[in-house]
Amino acid sequence: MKKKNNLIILGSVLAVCLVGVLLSQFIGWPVDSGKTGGDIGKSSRFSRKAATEAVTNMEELLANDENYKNGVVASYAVMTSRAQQFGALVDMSNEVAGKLPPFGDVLKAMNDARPMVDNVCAALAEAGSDLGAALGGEQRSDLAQNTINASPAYTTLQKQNELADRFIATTDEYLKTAEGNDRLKFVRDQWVDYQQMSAALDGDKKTARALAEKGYLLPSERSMAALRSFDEDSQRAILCSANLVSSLGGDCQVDINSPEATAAVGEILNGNLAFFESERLRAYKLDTEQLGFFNNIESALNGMFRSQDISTLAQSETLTSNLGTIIQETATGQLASEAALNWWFF
Amino acid sequence: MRFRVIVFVLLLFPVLSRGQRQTYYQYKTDDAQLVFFDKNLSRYIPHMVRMYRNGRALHQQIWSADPAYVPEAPLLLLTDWEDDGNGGATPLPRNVIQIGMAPLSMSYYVNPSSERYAQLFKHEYTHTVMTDRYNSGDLGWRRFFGAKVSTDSAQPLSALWSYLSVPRWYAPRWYHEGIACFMETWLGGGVGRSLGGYDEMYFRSIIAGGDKLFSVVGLETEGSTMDFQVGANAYLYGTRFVNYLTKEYGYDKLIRFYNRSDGSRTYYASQFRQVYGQPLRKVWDAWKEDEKRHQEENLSAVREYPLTPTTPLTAEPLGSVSPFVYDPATGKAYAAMNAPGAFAHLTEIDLGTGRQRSLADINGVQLYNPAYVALDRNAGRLIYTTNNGKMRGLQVYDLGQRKVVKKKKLQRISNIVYDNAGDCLYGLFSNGGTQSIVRLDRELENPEVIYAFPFGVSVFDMDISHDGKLLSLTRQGDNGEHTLLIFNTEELAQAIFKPVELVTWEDANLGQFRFSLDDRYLIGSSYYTGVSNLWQIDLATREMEMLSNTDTGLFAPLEIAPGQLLALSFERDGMHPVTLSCAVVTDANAIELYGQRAYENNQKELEQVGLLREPLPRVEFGDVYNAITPYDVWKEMRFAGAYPTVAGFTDTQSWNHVTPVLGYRFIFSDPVGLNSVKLGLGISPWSHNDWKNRFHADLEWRLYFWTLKAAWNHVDFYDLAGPVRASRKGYMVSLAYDYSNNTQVPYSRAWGFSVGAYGDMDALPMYQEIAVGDIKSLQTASVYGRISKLRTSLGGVMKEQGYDLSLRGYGYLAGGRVYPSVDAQGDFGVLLPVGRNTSFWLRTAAGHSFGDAKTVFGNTYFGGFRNNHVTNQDAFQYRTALALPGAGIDAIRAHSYAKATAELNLQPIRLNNFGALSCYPTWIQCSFFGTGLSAWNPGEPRQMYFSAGVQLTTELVFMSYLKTTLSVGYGHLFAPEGFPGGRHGNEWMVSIKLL
Repeated sequence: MKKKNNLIILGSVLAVCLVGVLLSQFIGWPVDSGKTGGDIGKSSRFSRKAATEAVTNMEELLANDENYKNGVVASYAVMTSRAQQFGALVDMSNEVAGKLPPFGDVLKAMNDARPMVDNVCAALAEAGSDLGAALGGEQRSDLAQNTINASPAYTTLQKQNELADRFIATTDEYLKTAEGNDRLKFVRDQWVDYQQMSAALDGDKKTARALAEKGYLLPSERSMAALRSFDEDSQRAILCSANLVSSLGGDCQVDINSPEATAAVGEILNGNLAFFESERLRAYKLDTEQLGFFNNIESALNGMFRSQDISTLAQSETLTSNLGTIIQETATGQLASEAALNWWFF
Repeated sequence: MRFRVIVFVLLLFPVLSRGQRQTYYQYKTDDAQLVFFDKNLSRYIPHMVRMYRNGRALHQQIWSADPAYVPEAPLLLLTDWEDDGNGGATPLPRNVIQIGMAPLSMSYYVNPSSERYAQLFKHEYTHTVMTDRYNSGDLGWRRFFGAKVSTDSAQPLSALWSYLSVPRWYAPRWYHEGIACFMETWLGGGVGRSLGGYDEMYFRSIIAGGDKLFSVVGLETEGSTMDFQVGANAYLYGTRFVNYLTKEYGYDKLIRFYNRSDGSRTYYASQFRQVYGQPLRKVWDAWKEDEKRHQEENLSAVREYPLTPTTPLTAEPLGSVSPFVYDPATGKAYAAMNAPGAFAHLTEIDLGTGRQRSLADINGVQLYNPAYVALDRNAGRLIYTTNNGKMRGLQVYDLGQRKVVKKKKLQRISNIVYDNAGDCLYGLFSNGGTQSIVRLDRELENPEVIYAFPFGVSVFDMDISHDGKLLSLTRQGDNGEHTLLIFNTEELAQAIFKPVELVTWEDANLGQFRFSLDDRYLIGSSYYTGVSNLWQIDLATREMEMLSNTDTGLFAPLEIAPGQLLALSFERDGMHPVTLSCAVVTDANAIELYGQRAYENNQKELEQVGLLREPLPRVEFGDVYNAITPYDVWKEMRFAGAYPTVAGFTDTQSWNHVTPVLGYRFIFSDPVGLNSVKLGLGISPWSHNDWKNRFHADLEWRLYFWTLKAAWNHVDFYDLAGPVRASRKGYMVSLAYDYSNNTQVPYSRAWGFSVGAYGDMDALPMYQEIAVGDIKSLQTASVYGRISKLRTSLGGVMKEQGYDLSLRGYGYLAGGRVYPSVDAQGDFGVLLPVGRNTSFWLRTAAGHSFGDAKTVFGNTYFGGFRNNHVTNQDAFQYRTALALPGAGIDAIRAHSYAKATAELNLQPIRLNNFGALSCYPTWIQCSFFGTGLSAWNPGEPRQMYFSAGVQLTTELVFMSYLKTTLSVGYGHLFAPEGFPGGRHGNEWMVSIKLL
């Protein structure tokens, strides 16, 4: 009896389910299949994605404008060299003065900035990789952005240049009463060279003169020996920066053309004073003319064309009135209340 | 002597023209001529060319059924004159498409956009095709004139020639913008205003509010001026109506309606009737009914779920409003607003008391988001952008001092936010089509770029977290997708440039997102459901949640207290600030877009319309880049048309002292319009003048700011109507330099000088009623300077407030004697707080002649309204220094003078749905004036003259673009004893200003 009742119950349940399944085929509930994770309806709209071309066409520009290409490479070379040099000098500064109490504050500031310097070098390396690939005809999707990033990266680094002045001043003060060694003097002199280049790039003759008056503490003939006492990474960075200065017609403490320097280049850099890995980039020989591009490129990369010549803007006013009646596509951007725009339709 | 002067003037002209510093560049092919101003932009030209050709090819597939039509290669003018991008097009006198290359404004997502240059060219080329396309009739007229004739107010007949050569230009704005927005959408893969949420919201708000939609004529009269979206209604209504036509009658009929082919009717409304078999007005009314039904269905769908309650902060909407900023310490919120009846200004609302206060006027606002506003809570300052329609500046308003304390021009920075933790300002810097995030110190000095975006990337709606560590932005992709980006400011300071892409929405926008109080969320708005609702995203989990279900639209949310939001609610008359609770909504229906219905009824056609049947040949970068050359305004000069003219010439023995002159005008110009020559030749053999005065020639040569004019028996069309006559016997040569600068709205500066020589005269060049006696030749020189700040509030028909100051020195050399003079004018006006658009002006003038008062050259002559019965001069001539209604023209002589006019301009009456499609009045306005003139003459007592009067003015529009102004006026003169015209004079004036 009990078994029969169970069967009746089970059968009834199955029957109800069957009826429900059948009914559900005929009854439509207003369910919006386009809803998100809750019951939020999304409005239907026609949409077709089009294949888009890269608007930033830096690869094409590099391939078609020799001056532009040279300028970008020159700029990159300068920024990379100086970033590496700065990082190396921070490490060398720690090595020669890390245990000297008067240098505590400046070294702390340098060490605080060290991670940033690594980031700058990394950003420049990324840009360099893309740049080198682009010069070889490859497409790199982030070429434009990474190249643009190089400029604010370098600018961020440049904000720390006052640390160089502080180290030079601290060393000069320290050496008034202490003996010091060649390595300390060499690092101090390298910071002077670094700042000389900063002044040259900024066109700051006054600072350049002041630094020239400070002069070097270590005689030139002992500079290579001092350099060779540091690790290879540091040597590499200093040799490359010396080569940069030499290419631009300048002088620095390390004579890159001396036999000792040549030997060091051969040993550490396999004869290649590379700022970067790419063969193509390494092939570019820098000169002062290209350095001129650096200032333009940097300002361009900074996007700081600030104030247009007013006469240019004024001529544009004349121009627009000469063009006659124009239907203006400015539903979102119109000045609604100026009679000067009576020529223009909103 | 005079010969030497003439030669000197002619020699001066080409020499001085070389002083122009601006250099232009171009890329020129058979299918386009692209001109731009900055050589650094050369690298973007290949992309522009590709986008142009893509747009053109798509249009040629649609409209090219008629092989007789050969499109005119347009001039593509690439400019960077504004911080927000835009586009414009004209077919007259030749096809021009102007592209403002900055990123488009995404305020309130009014303008959905894919890659902006592709979008702009698809839109603007629609205008070009609609107007440039000709049938055999139009072609015949173009051949006759040698060009498409551009309307010139100096030669009103040119309007007729213009209509004959480009008839479809003379259609209402909605007609043009409707099809352009339609095309931008379907050629752009569905991204455009035909499927825009803002458009949908606008019409939904009208129906929800029980308001009426404008009729087709009412749109052009009241609809173009009434509400806070002055000027934008053409886009809204045009897009809507075109969607309706497609939905109801099909895509093919729409194309037939707009296509200018043989067999099509010239006038657009006649063509409409031919294609649709019904009058335009009737179908427009049918659309209104359909729109009402559509919106009622959508409103029902939305209201199926509970609506989010909101509490308004003000009694009325505020018009156009920027997102509010809020100071929790004071409980006050601040924004920029612009509403009809007042000038745009910074407003303060006390959330506790509801009191609203105007803080400072804002010069140069945009239509939807008037200006960007940031709040420095530490120092109690508001920082806001000015000159928003051009190159933005920054100003600082000190809340404590209640005044503007700092102004900086030409900053080109928008989307500003103040980091109260770091005490610095962030913004987006726009230049050369690129954008960068910049940071300025608290004094708004030392700007530095902290992140730069490549050309073509468009970002907007920036915010800074309360702890100053995160910056958020929305980035728009090439297919219209939106991505929320987060930058870590500490990482940026460490030279790590890796923004986080928080979320990307493909077919919905992400707008105005700002940080919650605890910086855990970003709260913004989106048209995801078709309605702009509020949304939040959890920065940690990236989960999106909806916070509102509204039947209108909510924007710009800001958390002002935990769980409480301040937002803007869209209404018919503008944005209304409201507060609401921050609560997640789990149920909401989507609405149906009107454009989507058009698509569903024409799926096959609209899916195909944006696809190229044949791929275009690749435009190689080098082929364009290396072919860029300087643009030479001399080498680019070409014939730009010729047409017959009718004018009037002085003839004392003819009726009205004027004889008609038949002539022809020839025009030469470079495509950009920097160098143009107009030469008019005419004859009047039937006149009573000497034979030497029956031949006429007028030359006008404009080069940059220079104008050279020369004439023999100068004629003027408007002399035919009189009473003012500009025609003169004899010859004249003049050279003028006129420099003006309007880059800082609403300020204007102008200065210039001119030299001229006149000979064989019978009347003074400047005073028609004054005979010259024995002196037949005259040389003149003048120099002037002018500064002004003139403003018009929304819906105004004239300048309503400001000042206009000018100073002029001039002299005559006549009969071997020099007659120098100086005069100055100063106009001061104020918008009255009475109704709307009512203003009061005080106009003053003073002058003194240093020459011999006994001769005609040593005096100034006043009198008359100075309106011709038919004229192209400003309708309000009584405002000019020489006018004195009630007296005859030049009837009052003064060696020195001082004059003042008080003028009251009443609110214009807007006419709604009055008139026909081809002719309708838009407004009627009344002005009252009273003038006092003191005149001094040596050896005579000072004479005082008074004049009082009234002028009624109405604007009439013919053929959509031909605006005329009809004025009727009365003036009464009160003259001193002994005045030859009597102590009282009456003058009636009826004048119609053409074009």
